[in-house]
Amino acid sequence: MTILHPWDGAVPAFSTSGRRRTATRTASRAFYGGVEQLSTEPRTFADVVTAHAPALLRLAVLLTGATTEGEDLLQGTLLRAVRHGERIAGMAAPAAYLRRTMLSEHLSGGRRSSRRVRTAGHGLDRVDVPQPSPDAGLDDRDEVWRWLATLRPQQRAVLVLRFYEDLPDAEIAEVLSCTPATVRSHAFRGLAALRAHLTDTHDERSTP
Amino acid sequence: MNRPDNDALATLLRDTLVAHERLADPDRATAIAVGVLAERRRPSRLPLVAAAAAVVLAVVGTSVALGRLDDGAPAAGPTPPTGSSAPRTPLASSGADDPGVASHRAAAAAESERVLDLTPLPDGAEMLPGPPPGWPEGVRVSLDPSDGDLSRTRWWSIPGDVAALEAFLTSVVLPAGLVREPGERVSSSSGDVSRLALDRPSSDPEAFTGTGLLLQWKTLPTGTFLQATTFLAARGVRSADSRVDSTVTSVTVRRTHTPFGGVPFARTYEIDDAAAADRLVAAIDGLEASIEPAPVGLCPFGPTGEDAVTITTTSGTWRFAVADGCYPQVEVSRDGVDLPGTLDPADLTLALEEAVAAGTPITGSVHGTVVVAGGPAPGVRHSTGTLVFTGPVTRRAAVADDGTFAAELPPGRYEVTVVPDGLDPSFCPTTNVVVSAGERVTASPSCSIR
Repeated sequence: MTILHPWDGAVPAFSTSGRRRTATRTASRAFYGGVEQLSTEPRTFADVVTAHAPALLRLAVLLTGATTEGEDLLQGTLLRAVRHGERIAGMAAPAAYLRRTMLSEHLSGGRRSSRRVRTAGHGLDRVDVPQPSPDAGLDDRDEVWRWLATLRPQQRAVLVLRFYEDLPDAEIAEVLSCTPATVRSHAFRGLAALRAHLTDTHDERSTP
Repeated sequence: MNRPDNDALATLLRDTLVAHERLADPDRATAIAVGVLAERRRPSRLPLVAAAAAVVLAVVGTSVALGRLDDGAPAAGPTPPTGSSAPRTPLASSGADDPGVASHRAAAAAESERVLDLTPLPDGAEMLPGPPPGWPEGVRVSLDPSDGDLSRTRWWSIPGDVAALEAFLTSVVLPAGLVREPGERVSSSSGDVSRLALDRPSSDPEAFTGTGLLLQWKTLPTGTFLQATTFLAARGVRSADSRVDSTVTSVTVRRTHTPFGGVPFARTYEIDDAAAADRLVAAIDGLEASIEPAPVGLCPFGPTGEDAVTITTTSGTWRFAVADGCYPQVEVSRDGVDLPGTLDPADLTLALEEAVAAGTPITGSVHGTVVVAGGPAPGVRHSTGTLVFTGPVTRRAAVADDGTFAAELPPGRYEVTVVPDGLDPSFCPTTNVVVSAGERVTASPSCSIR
């Protein structure tokens, strides 16, 4: 069986280079676009799931902000999808369906979720969010990551789909079952809030 | 600092998200997928007891929240509750006085002890009377569903270091009755406590949930230590009235969805595939009572939908409704009368999805926005009010503040009349809309003030 999944096979290992980002964006488009079905041979749900799981987990982690919760979201999504496995395998764009399922699972609050162990704070918990070293300069990306954790799930989802997946507003609206205007509103407000947050943070840091 | 423009912020957001992709381990993703697929290969129509155990297994794994102990609460030894999402107050629900519930709680407490005895331990482990000095306190992790009064905790001193313990936990053959969840693995973290969660399916699903066994370990200056804590909850008692006890003549599912930022819309499916209907009825019949007391926790999301199954039989009509939420429960009514207590939905959703996929939609939905234009005020506006759909049936739908509306209707052609609040209806010409079963169509009624 030959199924080419460019977002898995062609994406290089993580790096912060522009090439990586470009590859990611290309891969994301492939998820939603028409290039997903590259083989006319029959495929099974197992093929679909194992091929797309890594990309789905990346999305899940970015939606939830934590490794553990992202893994639980992936598991909940797959458990929800597994009953319709063969139907999904026969779809022209099964990955897009799985992602919609993941968004639905995520935004519905995990009614169908599997184990979810929340970690936060200190002590017994493993903290997934990078914590700035006290003696190191605070990276804006750390600050943005922490700020993302303060957003409502829907608003975070809009930002992830728009700026990570590079989806147009109309597709985001379809995935989230809302209007494009709502997507634009969330994105606009999100950027405004981020701008204010970063400005405040920098001002605080520069205050002696 | 200069205020960054939108392009700079967008780039920063992109960089941030790409930089955090590394939190997703592709090997873990594959392991989770493989685990789910393995689960799928289990027989789909399990004997009742096995099916119930599977249901409970799913419930054991169901959501978790953080619990914080009251300040000063002992964190050690046989004094059990170590962090639970369940309320810390004594059992207060009316079910507490029910002898059946009391019996379930006693059975659950005994199960908690039994599961703790199954903790896998390397040779040389020595049980401690309480937590070792320096063991972290404060924020705790718990597994849902859990009732703090039923949790049990023990500590052991472990020979060797954390790496040796993790190697042991990775390779050990678990005692009979303990299972790893699909994808569950030993998790190690730098410096902090690491953990592994195991499950034991309930040996009495009617009385209590499956048990989660949370292992946590850490190296302290005095050695390596392992903590094991059990989490489970007792169930209420399902009333006999909530069981469908006669020949089923029809099954329908009404699915209501509230889109993000929109008004709810509903669609009804007739489950005319006899096998799918039977499976759904059997799944409902196999549900256990909800846990007692009902869990209370922080719910970050609001309701987004509801599924309601209506089962008509030769002796009456049952309605089972479950809404999205942190701790969903199935509410039951019979012949229009609400029954006491609720049921645990467990994986009812899977049976519902299957039934809906095999069913036939018998309604469609209309949605849209009522727009008001003209008059002294500039621009396009919205108006609250009512829409009247006249066709095969007559239905009314409320118009929200932002002009949006949604209605569920049987198939057919409808005349849509706007009755706006505070506006002469003659400004709003009627429109027509054709509704098809299973379809969601858009209507755009408008009012033009002359």
